[in-house]
Amino acid sequence: MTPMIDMAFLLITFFVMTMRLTASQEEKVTLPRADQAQTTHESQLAIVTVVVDAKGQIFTAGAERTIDELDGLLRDRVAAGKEVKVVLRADARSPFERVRRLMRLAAENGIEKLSISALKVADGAAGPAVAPAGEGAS
Amino acid sequence: MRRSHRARPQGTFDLQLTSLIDLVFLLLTYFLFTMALTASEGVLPSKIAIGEDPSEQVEEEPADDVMVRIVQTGDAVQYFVDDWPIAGFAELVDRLERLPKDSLIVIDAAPTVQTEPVIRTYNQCLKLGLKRVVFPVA
Repeated sequence: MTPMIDMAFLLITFFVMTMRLTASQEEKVTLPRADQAQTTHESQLAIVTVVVDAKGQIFTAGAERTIDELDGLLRDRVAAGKEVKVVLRADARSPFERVRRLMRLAAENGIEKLSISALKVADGAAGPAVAPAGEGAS
Repeated sequence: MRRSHRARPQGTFDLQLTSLIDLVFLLLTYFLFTMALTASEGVLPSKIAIGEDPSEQVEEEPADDVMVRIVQTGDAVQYFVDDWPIAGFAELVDRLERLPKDSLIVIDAAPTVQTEPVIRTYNQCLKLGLKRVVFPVA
């Protein structure tokens, strides 16, 4: 029975090591799927995660923000001196106009590093994960 | 006072592991049921272009500028390449495949477009090795 117990402990250790200790985002968004999505490890950057839900509402740190509030927040972060990176977690159904507005906001605050979150899927599996909007023919 | 030691008979060492193993399997079951079965999250790096002509924002001289315009009419998503309508996403992929790898791709989405088709297009560009993709945000 010893190898079985060893195996069980090994599995538990694996799960404990890989479990997420951070609180999950309260805003539920269905991210677009992309097979080119990359995992990044940029701990030296001040990362501001901005969530855009399907209705286009903006959240940071669990609170809903207006564009002006976010503008102030980004300005403060940039003024703090650390290199800021904005990560946009936009729902696949959110209006892209909202995402574009946030891109502009980042650029206006001198933030050059910006990433869009997506679900990492297997090669070739990228595409609509939500109720797809049809593709019109010409 | 002499302390009396009761001699333990040799070869009768008995370790009660049942409750420990129960706990281990309970933990194992818990982790197995709560582990994330969804795809992990990654990021798509983005380059922001501000201005009327996004190609002016790029430092290097582009080999070829291609404007991919995305328009949404009702549920239908329509793609245009340099203002020419495209029959669907498959044809868009075909067009992108034929472009030189150093082409500058400008993804311009109409205000009504959802995020999903934009990210899908961007992901496809990265997949095809077209690394110079910009989003005009002006």
